Amino acid sequence: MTKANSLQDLTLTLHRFWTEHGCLIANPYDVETGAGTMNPMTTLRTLGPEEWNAAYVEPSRRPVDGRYGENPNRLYQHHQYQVILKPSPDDVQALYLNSLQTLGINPLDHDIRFVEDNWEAPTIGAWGLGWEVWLDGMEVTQFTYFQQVGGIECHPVSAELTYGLERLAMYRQGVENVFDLEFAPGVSYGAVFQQPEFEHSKYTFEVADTEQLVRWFNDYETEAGRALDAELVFPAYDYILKCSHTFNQLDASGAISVSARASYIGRVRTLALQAAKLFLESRRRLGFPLMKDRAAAARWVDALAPKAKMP
Amino acid sequence: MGLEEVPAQMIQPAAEQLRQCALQFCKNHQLGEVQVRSFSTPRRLALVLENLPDQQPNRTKELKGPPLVIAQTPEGEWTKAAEGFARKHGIDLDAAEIRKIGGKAYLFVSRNVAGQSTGSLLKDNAPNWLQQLSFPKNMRWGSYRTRLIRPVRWLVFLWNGTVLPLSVENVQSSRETRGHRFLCETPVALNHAKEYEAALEQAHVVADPDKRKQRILDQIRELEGVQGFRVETEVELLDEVTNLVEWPTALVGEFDERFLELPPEALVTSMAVHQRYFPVYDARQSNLLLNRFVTVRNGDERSLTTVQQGNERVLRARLSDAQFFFNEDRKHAPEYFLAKGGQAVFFQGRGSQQDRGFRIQQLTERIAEQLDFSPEQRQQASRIAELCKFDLQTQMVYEFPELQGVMGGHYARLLEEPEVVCRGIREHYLPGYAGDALPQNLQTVPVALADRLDQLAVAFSLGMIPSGSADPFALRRAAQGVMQLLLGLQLELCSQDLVAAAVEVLTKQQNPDLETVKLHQQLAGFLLQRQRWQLREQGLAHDVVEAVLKGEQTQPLWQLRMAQYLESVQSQPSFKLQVEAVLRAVNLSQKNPLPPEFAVNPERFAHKAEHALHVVVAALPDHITSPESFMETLAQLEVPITRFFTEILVMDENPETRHNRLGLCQWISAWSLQHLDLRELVFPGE
Repeated sequence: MTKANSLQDLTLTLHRFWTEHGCLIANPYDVETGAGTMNPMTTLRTLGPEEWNAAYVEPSRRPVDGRYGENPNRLYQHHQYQVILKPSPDDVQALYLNSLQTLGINPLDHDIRFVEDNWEAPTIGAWGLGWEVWLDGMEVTQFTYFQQVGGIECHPVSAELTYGLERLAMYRQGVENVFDLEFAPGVSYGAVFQQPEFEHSKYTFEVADTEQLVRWFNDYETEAGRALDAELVFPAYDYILKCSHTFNQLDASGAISVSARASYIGRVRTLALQAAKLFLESRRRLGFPLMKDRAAAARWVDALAPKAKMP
Repeated sequence: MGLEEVPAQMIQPAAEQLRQCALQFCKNHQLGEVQVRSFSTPRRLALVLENLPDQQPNRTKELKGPPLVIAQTPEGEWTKAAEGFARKHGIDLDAAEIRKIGGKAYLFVSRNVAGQSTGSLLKDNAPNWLQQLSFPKNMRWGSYRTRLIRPVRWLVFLWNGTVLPLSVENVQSSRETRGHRFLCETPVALNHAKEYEAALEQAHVVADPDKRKQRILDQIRELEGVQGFRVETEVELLDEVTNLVEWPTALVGEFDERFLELPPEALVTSMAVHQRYFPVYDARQSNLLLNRFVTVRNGDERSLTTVQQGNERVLRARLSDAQFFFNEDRKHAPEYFLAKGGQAVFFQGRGSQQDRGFRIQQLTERIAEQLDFSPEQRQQASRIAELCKFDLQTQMVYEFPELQGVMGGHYARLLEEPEVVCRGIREHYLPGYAGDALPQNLQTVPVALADRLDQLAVAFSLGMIPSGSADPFALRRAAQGVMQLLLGLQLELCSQDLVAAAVEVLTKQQNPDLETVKLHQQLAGFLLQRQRWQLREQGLAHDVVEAVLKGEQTQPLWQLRMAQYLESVQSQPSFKLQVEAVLRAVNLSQKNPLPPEFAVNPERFAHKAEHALHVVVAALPDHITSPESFMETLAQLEVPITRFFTEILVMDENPETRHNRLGLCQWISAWSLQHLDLRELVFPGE
C-alpha cells in the first residue's frame, strides 16, 4: 500500500474504487474549466431526475493562483478528482471514507473531520451545503450536497466529492513542495508542470492583452446567446465556459473593479441559468433516457412539462 | 437524532431548542418536576428526561357551555342548546353549575379526565419537537423532500426500555445509537434510556458538551503544566472546537522558529482562524507568542505523532506561504505598492486605488486644518493618509484580507517610519463596528474620517445608495464610523463641512458629471440617519433628538451636548415657559413669513414693549458656545417676548408697523432655528 504513491497511482486507485461503486469514468473537459464542477458532466448532469454516477479528473485553471511555478503550494492549474453521485446514497460518507482507506489512509491513525463549508458558485447560479474534509488538519476533499444548479432546485440531490489530488499525493509522499511530487514512476510533477506554470503566470500577469480579453468575453457571450436561441445547449455551455475562463483571466490581471466584477458575474450567470433550463427541457423531451425506472421517467416528463400558457 | 456532521456553531442552539420543547411539553401535560438533560455532539442531538411519572395525573376539566338565557327557558326547562352541549361532552345536565363571567351567567360542567400514560404522550408529541427544529440554513439529500441542517442517519426513541415509533424519511427509530465514527465500529444498543450517557462514553463519545469542553480544558491545563507555556483558550474558538469533536485528545505541535518574524496577527490568524489551533504564549511574558500550538484531535491517543506531524505539515505550508509573501512584499518600498494601486480599479469611473489614496490624503489635510493641528501633527496625519492603503497591493493582504492595516503598519515599522504613522496605518480602520475601540492617536483621526467620507462620496456619486438590507459596500458602517469618531473623540467638526470637503475633493480629481448639490444632500441625509440612530442608541428621547437634528446646526458633538442638556432641563417648569414664549414668536413668524432679507427698522417702534424686545433681540449672540449659554439667552428672551405679546397687537392694520413687529418675530425664529427646533420638544404631561 505504501509503494503505489505517485499521483498517477492515486488517480488509478480512485478510478478502480469508484468503478466498483457503479461510477462511469468520464474524462477531463476540453474547454478550460476552473473546477471539476464546471465540467458539463457535473453542471448539467446534476440537473433533473436522471440517475448519474460519474468520476473523472479535472485539470482546473485558477489564473489568480498562478505563482510562476515558485510557490510550493499554489498552482495556476491543479488537478481535482471529481465524483458525482445522484441521488446521494444514504451511506455516502462511509463510501468516501472507504475510498480513503484504499488510498492507504486508515482513519484510526489520523484525525479525519468534516468541517462545515458551504459552496456557492454565483457564475452558474449554484450552491450546496457540506464540508471540507480535514485529514490531520489538511483540507483534502470538498464534500457537497448540491441544492441548486443554474438556479434550479436539484431533485434528487447529488453528492459531489472533490479530492485535491496534489494535496493527497503530497501527504502520501511526505513531500513539502508540489513540484517535488512523483507524478508517474521516475517523473516529477515539476518536470511536467513547472514550465507551463511559469508561462501561464507570466502570460496572465504580464502579457495578456486585457482589451482583447474584454472583446473575447463579449464575443463569447454573444455566441452563447445565439446557441441558446437555437436551443443548442452543449455548444452554448462551451461558450459559457469560455466566458467564465476569460473573466477569471481578467480578474487575475486586476483589470476589473469591484462593481464591474459583479456585472461580469451577472452576465455569465444569466447565460448559465438559461442553459440549465434548456438542458432540463431537452432531457425531458428525450424522455429522461438515463432513468432505469421508465414509469418514473414518464411521470417526470409530465411533471416537468412547461405549463401551458393561459389564453 | 443521529446526523451527518452538523456545523459547529449550530449545535448548541439546536440542542437548546429541543430542550425548550421538552420543558414546554412537561409543563403543558402537568408531568411535574422533570429534569431535562440535553446532549449534543457534531453527530447527534439528544434529550434525556429524568423523573418522568408513568402516568399524567388525573384532572378535572371544566367546560363552559352556552349562556344561561339560551340554556334555559324562562320556566327553568333545559333548552335544545343545553341538551346538545351535554350530549356532545357526554355529561349529565343535572350536574351542571351556573357561573357568572363578566356579569353574564353561563352553564358550566366539570368532567374528570384520566391522565394519559407518559409513554403515549411522548409518542404523540416528541415527533413535533423534531419538526419544530429550525436552522438558519437547511438542505435536502438523496431523493427525499425533508429539509434539515444535515441528513438524518439514525433515530433512537426510548421510553424507559421500550422503543417508541419515530421516523424521518427512510430512518426509523430503534434502540441502536452509534458511537464514535472510527473508534466504535458497531452500533450501540441501549436497554434503557437512562444508559444513554454512559453507553456513549463506552463508545468513545462524550455526549455532554459541557463535560467535553471541560475535558479539553483539563487536557490543555495539563499540557501547560508539563510544557510550562500558556495556551490562549479564547471562548469562541473553544466552543467551536468542542463542537468539532466527540472524543477530544489535545496535542502540542511545533513550527519553525524562523516563522516568528512574521507579525503575530498573521500567525494567530493562520492557527486560530484557518486551522482552529490554540495559539501558545510564554508563561511569564503574556504577549510573547511561542512557536507551538495546541490542536484537539477527534479521537484517542493512537498514532498521535502522525496526527501531530500532519498538522505541523499543514501549518508549515501555510506559514511558508505567508513567509514567502512577507519576503516578497519586503522587497519593495510602499511607493512601489502605491504605484501598483494605479492599476487597480477602486470603483469604475472613480479612478484607481492610487487616486483614492490621493483623495484620502487631500481630505485628511483639510480635516487636520479644521482640527487646528500643529504643523508636525499635520505632517504626520498626511503621512498616515499617504500610506494607509498601500498594503492592499501587498501579497500578504491579498492572502489574508483580515490583516489589512496590520500589515501596512508592520511594513512601515520595518522601514522605520515614526511609530505614530505605523500605528495610524493600522488604526485608521477603527472603529470597525458599533462599540469598537477608536484610534489611539489624534493624528490618525482625520485619516479615519477621510477614508470613510471618500468611500461614501464615491458610492453615492455612482448611485450606490443602501436600501433595505442591501448594503454590499457596508456604507452604513462607514457613516456610523464617522459618527462614532466625531462623538467618541469629541471633535468639533460639522458634518456639512465634512461632506462638502469630500464632494469637492472627489469632483476636483475625477471631474465626473455630477449634481453636487443633490449628492451633498444625500450624503448629509445619510449621515444624519446614522447620527439619529446613534443618539437614540445612547438613550436620548425621540423629541430631544429631533429638536437638535432639525435645527440648522450640523456639528454632531454640539448636537449631542445640546440633546443631553435639553433632557436634563426638560422637566423644569421655567424651561417650558421660556420655550413657549419663544415658540409664540416662531409660530407667528412661520405663519406670516417675510422676505428673509427683511430688516427691522427701530425708528418705527412706537411702543415700549417693542423697544424692550428689540434691545434683547439685537444682542442675540450669533455663536453659542455651550448649551448653558443657549439656555441663558432663552431665559433673557422670555420676559420681553411675553410683554410684547401681552401689550401690543402684532397684526396691526398698518402694514409697515405690522411688518416691523413680524420682523422681530422672524429674527427670533431664525436665531432659534439656527440652533435647534424647539417645536419638536414634548413636555411632560403633554
